[in-house]
Amino acid sequence: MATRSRTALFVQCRHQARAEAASSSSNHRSAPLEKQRLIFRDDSAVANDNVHDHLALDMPVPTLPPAWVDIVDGVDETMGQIQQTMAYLDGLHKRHLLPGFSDDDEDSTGPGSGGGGGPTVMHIEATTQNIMAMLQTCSRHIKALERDYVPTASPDGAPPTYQASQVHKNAARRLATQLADLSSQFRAAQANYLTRLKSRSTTATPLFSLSDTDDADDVPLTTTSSSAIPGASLATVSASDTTAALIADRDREVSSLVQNLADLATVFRDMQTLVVDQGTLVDRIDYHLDVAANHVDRGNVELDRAIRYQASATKIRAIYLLVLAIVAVMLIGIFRQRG
Amino acid sequence: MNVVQAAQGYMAKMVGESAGMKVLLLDPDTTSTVSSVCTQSFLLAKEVYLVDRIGNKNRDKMAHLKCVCFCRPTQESIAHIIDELKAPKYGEYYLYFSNVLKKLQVEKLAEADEHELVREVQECFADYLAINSDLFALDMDLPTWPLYAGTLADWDARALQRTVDGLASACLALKKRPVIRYAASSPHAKRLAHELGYLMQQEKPLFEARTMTPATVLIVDRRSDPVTPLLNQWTYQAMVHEVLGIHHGLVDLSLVDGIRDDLKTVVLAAHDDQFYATNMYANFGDLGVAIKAYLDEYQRRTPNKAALESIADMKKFVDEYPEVRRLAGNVSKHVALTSELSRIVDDERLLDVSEVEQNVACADTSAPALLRSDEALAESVAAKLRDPLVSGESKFKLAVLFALHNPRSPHLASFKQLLADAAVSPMKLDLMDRVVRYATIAGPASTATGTSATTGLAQFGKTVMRGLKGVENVYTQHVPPLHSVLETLVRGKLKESAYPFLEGTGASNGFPEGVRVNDVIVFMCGGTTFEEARFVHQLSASVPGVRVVLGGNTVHNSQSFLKQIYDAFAQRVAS
Repeated sequence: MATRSRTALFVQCRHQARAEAASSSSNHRSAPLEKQRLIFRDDSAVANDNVHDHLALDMPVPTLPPAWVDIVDGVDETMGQIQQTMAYLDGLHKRHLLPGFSDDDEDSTGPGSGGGGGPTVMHIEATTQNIMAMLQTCSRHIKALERDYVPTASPDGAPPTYQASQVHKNAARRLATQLADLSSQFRAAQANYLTRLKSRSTTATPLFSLSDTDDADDVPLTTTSSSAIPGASLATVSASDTTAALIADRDREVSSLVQNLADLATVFRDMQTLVVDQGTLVDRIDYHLDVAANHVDRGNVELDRAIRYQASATKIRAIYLLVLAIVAVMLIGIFRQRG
Repeated sequence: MNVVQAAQGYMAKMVGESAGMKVLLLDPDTTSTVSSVCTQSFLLAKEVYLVDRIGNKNRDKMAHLKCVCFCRPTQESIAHIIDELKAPKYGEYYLYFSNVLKKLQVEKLAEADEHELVREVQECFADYLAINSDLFALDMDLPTWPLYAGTLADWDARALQRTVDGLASACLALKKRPVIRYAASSPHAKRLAHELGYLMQQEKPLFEARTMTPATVLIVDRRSDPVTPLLNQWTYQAMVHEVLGIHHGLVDLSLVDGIRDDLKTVVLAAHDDQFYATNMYANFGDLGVAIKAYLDEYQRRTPNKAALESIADMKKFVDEYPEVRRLAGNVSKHVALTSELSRIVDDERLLDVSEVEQNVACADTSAPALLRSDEALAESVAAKLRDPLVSGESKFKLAVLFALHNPRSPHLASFKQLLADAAVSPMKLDLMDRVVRYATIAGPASTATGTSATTGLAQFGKTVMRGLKGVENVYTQHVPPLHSVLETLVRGKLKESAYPFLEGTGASNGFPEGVRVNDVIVFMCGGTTFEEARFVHQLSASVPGVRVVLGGNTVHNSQSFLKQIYDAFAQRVAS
């Protein structure tokens, strides 16, 4: 697609126009100020600060952006961090899934897998927790942005305008959509990693079966390794190994259950955010323009009605006053006659 | 060569160039351009938090926002921008214009920019309405844009300017340097060709840039083919436009009985809607099958409540929920559309009427009487005109088609009588003769294809073969003349006598006759139709290496076409 930039021509014309204006109104300005102006004027029109210094004379004082803009910036930064961390986690996953020669069970949660080579499971866990924490922080901030930072009355007492509230709502909506995308990306990556891990562990299933379930029920659920169970004697080492394996298995199932529930909770929370249905009428730009125009029109209609009522109110008051005056004059006339 | 992608590329460039919170200001022309290629979610993702009209003076001062302004360089828009720059409401301004800015306009803008807030002034040539990837229109509907002034041979000056600008911007958006050919028989096409050539001369550096590749721009006239817009259509997109009307990509279903609130206005856009993109050229029968398959898929993906047993199931359901919801919306939209189409087809007996229409449209006048009996045709038309169940509009269309087929037929008087009996207004009856006059460009009413002269024998042979072979589908047997023109052009055999090159751009550019042509932009003065768009699409798909894009002043259905003829005669032409 071809485009053409007319910025250079525009800046040149602007330069000329300013020069003409300055020379024609030179009697209003003292010479030093004019020189200052010529120095400050920058042809590339990028030196914003200089220009605004000089413009402080002409333009109204620029207002500060509303407070919620800081929140938006903060959330944007956090989401950038999340993306970086997710990329890093991806790398960790890949390296962890590389086939290695370690004898340890790769799913063990204890320290000791992948001696000097691949990333430890704890490190992966920590990174995952980190990402989840950041996602939750973002979600909290977006909720706060939506609820608490609603544009209230502006400093000069006027009610919040339709446009200001639109900008605020749209900003929240954009952040919510972006967060929903990030979290679904994260979930997909997690699910992928887990399935690949499961497929690896099934190829190396432990050879003993889980037949003594009674033992497993009695044993308390801990995550310690077999050697840490108190009172284990040499004779029962093999049995306790089996039990320990059972414990580890049950443990894993429960924690995965907990994880699932937590995931579900986040997913439901994401669902509640304002995500616009794509491809529908509500997603059309001209629809929004019409709604905004209608809003203004309806506002005008209300204003007109108010003005009319106001006018009619004064008229009615005038009528009452006149009637009262007539009655008063009549009464005076009657009393005069009597008296 | 995708006009939708070109427009989307421009939009991405405009709102993507600066970071930070932005507001987008549009004027009435660019609003429709932008709405048809861009969604609100796209703008939101690029941090455009507010969209408004440049003419709206009640906007708030929000100096922390940057303003991206995209307008047509008309007097009105420039005046609004000047007002805005003199009393700026936003922190920075980025001005984009959809067509060429004149130097005077740049100077006026520069003068008005007292506060020096404008950072960029650029021209992004998206001055057209992108409907499909290979179809664009200029949105020149009546009553705002009458095309004819004085006589039928003259353009209305404003309309001509708009057309030239729109066509040039489409060429620039597709990065094509036009090699102009026009229909010799049409004064309109000739005038447009000359104006476009003149514009190219004036903006030589723009059109001669290194990135531009040559493409043939073929300018034809609607007047050489008045039959196509009047026929009933049976492919999805064309049918919806003919029966319901597609305006700026929106279809109005609010008058349908029992329609849901959120389906009162539906969006039909191929770049967003996968089902529509696959089925927009499907005929009505295939469409029914496709809808059924779509519904089955939707039912398969929506689990019934009992199936949610494990947490994994629930997670899967919630993960897929947004996708399923979008699918649900889409399914209900298409089901509503097809059921409404189906109801109208039944109520107005469109199948029978269309059969007669197609027979009339495809009957060859040059064939000898023994193969296609004119009497039988007239009788079938008269039968439909007498049928009380057929609507007045359909009857009128049928009579007009017959008049176009044989303007000197003795049956026309009796048809007019039948129409008057069916309570068709006398205004419309006059229109019948005027349509015939509209169709007469230089010479007798004929399909001016300009192909190698089909002698009487060749024509006879064709008719015999058709009679013997039979037609595949009687409802879609009509082939617009544009199709044969394009086929001959692509093969390099289009006669220069009928479609001359514009002087100075022709053979010197290496496009002599006999050379195969690859990229074609066809522009139809007076408006194009979805049926022709379908043929253009199929041509691009079937011949490898050829890409054809179709454009027109507007996209006609039978109502808008008749209105255009009526308007041309009522106000412009001294009849």
